Amino acid sequence: MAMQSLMANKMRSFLTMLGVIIGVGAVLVMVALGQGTASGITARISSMGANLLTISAGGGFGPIRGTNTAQLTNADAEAIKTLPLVKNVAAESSTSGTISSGNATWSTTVDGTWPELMSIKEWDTIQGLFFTADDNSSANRVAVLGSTVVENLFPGVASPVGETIKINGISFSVIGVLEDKGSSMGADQDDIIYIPLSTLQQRMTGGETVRSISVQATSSEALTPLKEYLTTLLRQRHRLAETADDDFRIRDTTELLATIEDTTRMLSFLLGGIAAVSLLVGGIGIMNIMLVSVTERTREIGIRMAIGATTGAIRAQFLIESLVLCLFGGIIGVLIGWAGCLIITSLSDLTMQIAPRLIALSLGFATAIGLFFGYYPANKAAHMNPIDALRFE
Amino acid sequence: MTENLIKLREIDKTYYGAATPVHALRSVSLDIDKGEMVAIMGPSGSGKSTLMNMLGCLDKPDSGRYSFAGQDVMVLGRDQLAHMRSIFIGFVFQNFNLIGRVSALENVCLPLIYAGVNSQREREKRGRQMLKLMGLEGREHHMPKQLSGGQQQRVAIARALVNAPGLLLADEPTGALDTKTSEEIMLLLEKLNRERELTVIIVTHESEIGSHCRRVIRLTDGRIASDEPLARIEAGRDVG
Repeated sequence: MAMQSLMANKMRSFLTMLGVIIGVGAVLVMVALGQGTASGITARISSMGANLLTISAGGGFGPIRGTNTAQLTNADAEAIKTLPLVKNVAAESSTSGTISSGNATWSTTVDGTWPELMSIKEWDTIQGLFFTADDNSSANRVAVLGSTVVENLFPGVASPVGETIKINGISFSVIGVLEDKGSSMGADQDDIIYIPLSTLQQRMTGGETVRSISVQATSSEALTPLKEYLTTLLRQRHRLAETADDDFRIRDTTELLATIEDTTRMLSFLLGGIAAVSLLVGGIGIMNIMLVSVTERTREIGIRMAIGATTGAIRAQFLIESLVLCLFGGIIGVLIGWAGCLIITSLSDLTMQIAPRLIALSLGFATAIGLFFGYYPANKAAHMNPIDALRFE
Repeated sequence: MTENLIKLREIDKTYYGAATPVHALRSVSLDIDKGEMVAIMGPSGSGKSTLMNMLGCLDKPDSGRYSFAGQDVMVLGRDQLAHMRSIFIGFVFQNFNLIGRVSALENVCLPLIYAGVNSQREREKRGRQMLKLMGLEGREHHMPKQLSGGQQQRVAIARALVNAPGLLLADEPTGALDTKTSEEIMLLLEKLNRERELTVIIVTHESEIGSHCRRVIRLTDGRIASDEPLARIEAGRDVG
């Protein structure tokens, strides 16, 4: 019955639904965008390593103060290795380099590190192997390449392992290729070459300083005490006075993750909220048209009452009509929103995530709108006086 | 003596309209037995529509007593009245009052939905039977506007009777029809009254229509002015 009256007014039903369609579609796209961004950022941060503390030179915020600022050294990193609660330590330093192989040349970042970096970051090689602790202690000239470097230096070559390359004029043999890591915040993480830290220090940069030290704790509970140990140790080693500020900074990825998750959750709510307002406006449209429909069909309501329809039956008829409008609109909205997400993802590198829960939520919301905004008109219809309704022209 | 189908005692109904209260019915008492065919006549404003609304359980009197088939109507609530209409009463209106966007058959089946007949098959079976009885076989899927006035009114009668009520209330059933069709509809009502022991109450201002009934109740200013049998017609029908 409800369907028949909706079909009789196709254009009007469609226009009424449009409000819900746009609302549900907008909710879906907005929340998918918010959640996609959130999970993308989360994934990138977790790919930086779990239970990770990163120590870098320079204290506090802003530029490093004073001239005698201490820097982190190999010895600092070796000392950290002996602390309790430490699972892995990797010191890192980098320089830029011009790489050549045959006629091909490529400029990229040359990162000197310890082999432990692989376990900290949970990376793997797709070809060959990463260098070992021996390579580091003997300062061997071995290099592990990121995939972007491979593409540019060895186009069309199946495996560059075993080839020789020159980094700033020094020969290295390629021993491995790293798996793809994608780009993070606009930076290509595969455009990099890893060599042993001691090789970098002895042959290219000189000195014993390192840019940063990554320390992996044994568990997430260990992070807080470990941070204290690290601070105490480094202050001692750098011989800082009681009153002096730290000359290093310890960053906690878990903390960073929590902050960013909070921010993106806020973003999701904000986007979803804006979209929900449009859904609400759609709901008001439904109520408006239902009221018109009830008035128009006053006589029909009277006839139905005369032949035995109870208030409940009349109310149910109009509620179902409004529900069908909303649910139909909701389904179309989900389809359009989904299509919109696919189009946006294919045209840009935004990540969108449509969880089944989100679809259920959108449809549930549409249903609730239908019930809420349909109730008043349906009730109005149900409580008409049958005699007046029958006489209505 | 058997219980009267309809028993009205001292019924009053006043409408509080715009300016002055309208006393639509004043102290109306009336008995109608099962199987009667009654015309309620009177000039417009005499209260005959109000009386029909009371009889049809569309509204309740302000005071007095009304029992329908032994049930005290005065104590019933809104949905209980709807239930009475659904089970015991069929309505036929001057302008047919069919629902325009559904077919003849669906119109006829509508009361069965409200009476709780849940099987669509059962509803359609009874709807088709009723349309056949009205001589509308083959028109089940016509829309009301594709039917002539007389056919529409027959669909309306089928709808009124599909739930096998004891009482058919017709408000100016021929008011929108030409003389020949009016005659056909009245003969149909007479036949139903005779063959199915259906109690028929017709509200009309045309004495032609009233003459088909065996009893005529005349209303003036909300009171019963006369209530008499029409023996002449009784005799005439016996001949036919």
